[in-house]
Amino acid sequence: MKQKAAEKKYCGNCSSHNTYEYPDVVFCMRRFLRGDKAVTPTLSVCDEWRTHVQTCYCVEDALKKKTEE
Amino acid sequence: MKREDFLREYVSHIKIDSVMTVDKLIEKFDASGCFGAGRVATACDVFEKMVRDKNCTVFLTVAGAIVPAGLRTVIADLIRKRRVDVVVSTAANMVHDLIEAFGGHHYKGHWLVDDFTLYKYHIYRIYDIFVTEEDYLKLDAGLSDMFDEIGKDTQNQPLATHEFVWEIGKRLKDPNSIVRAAYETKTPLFLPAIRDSEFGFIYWLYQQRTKSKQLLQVDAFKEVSDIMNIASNSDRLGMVVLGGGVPRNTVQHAAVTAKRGLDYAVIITMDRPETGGLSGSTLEETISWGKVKRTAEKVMVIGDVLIVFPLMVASLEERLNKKPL
Repeated sequence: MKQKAAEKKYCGNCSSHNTYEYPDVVFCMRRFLRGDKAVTPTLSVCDEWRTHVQTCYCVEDALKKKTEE
Repeated sequence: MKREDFLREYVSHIKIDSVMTVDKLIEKFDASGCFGAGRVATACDVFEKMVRDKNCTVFLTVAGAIVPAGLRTVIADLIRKRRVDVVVSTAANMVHDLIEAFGGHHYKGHWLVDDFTLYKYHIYRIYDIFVTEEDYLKLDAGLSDMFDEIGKDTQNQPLATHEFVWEIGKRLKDPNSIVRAAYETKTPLFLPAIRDSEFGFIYWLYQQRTKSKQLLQVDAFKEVSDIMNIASNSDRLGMVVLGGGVPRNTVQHAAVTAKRGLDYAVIITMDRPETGGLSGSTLEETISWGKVKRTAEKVMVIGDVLIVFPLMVASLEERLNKKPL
């Protein structure tokens, strides 16, 4: 699971994310605490990406939706 | 006592007809007089008496997941119609009120679900109610900004929780919100354990982010004198307790500290007294403290608040419609 997460990094599987508009958009608590724009696409990513201990469906469902579109 | 003293009144069997109103059903409960039905009927009578008593200050205490379960509008309407004079609530209930005021929802769910699947979908469960993480997040972000605004407006002056609630209510537009109703009617809505809720986490978020030197301050002790003054300056005191917990204790404590004792008391709870907790403690026990007067009109109903309280309120409104205040 950790290796899989390390291969494909997204905001949606970072430990700082919460849902915002499932599955397309997440809320980045790290950015929010800095006073930066916190709402970000699930499939975006930044250099501060951290692994999420227990994976969620955000990335999977965001990718599925992107494929369908 | 003689034998015949025990055999004065028959149980009158409940007869249901097709055009029965809630209050008519409560009348039948009263006539049967037994078990929970009898107690619900007594609760309706006591509630009516304390509302009709012009010299009685009525406290409504709210604990348990009552707002997410559907009683938001009932409580907001009681405030707007001035059926209650003071509300004392767990902060969590007002968090759920504000989730909806900020555009979120509570969903009908089920208690038999895979909770780990819910976790992966960022859905939280409250027994058979679901709430999405994003609805919490929108509240967190919105309230964090609001705290900043309130801090600038109040300029480092500490607020009691009911003052803080009014400041939030001032900034809401949702007419169905309990907090908004409390602000519009200037009904004190105390949150004695405010930190133990999402408000506490949002305050931390706000502290991390704010660049303002005018900081929002909420003083947990400040409201004690306000609630004491309410209790001391009232001719009579009544309470309706939904659940129990900290809110019930706050009102009872104010009543005994003001050397008044409650004149009317209705408690709806599922808790039992045998384990010594406050929520299950009987009204008889409260007499030993002076929290409730020995002569008080009182009843404890063991039942689900979501079933009993709407019946009580419907009965009250029917009675007030027939004979207005």
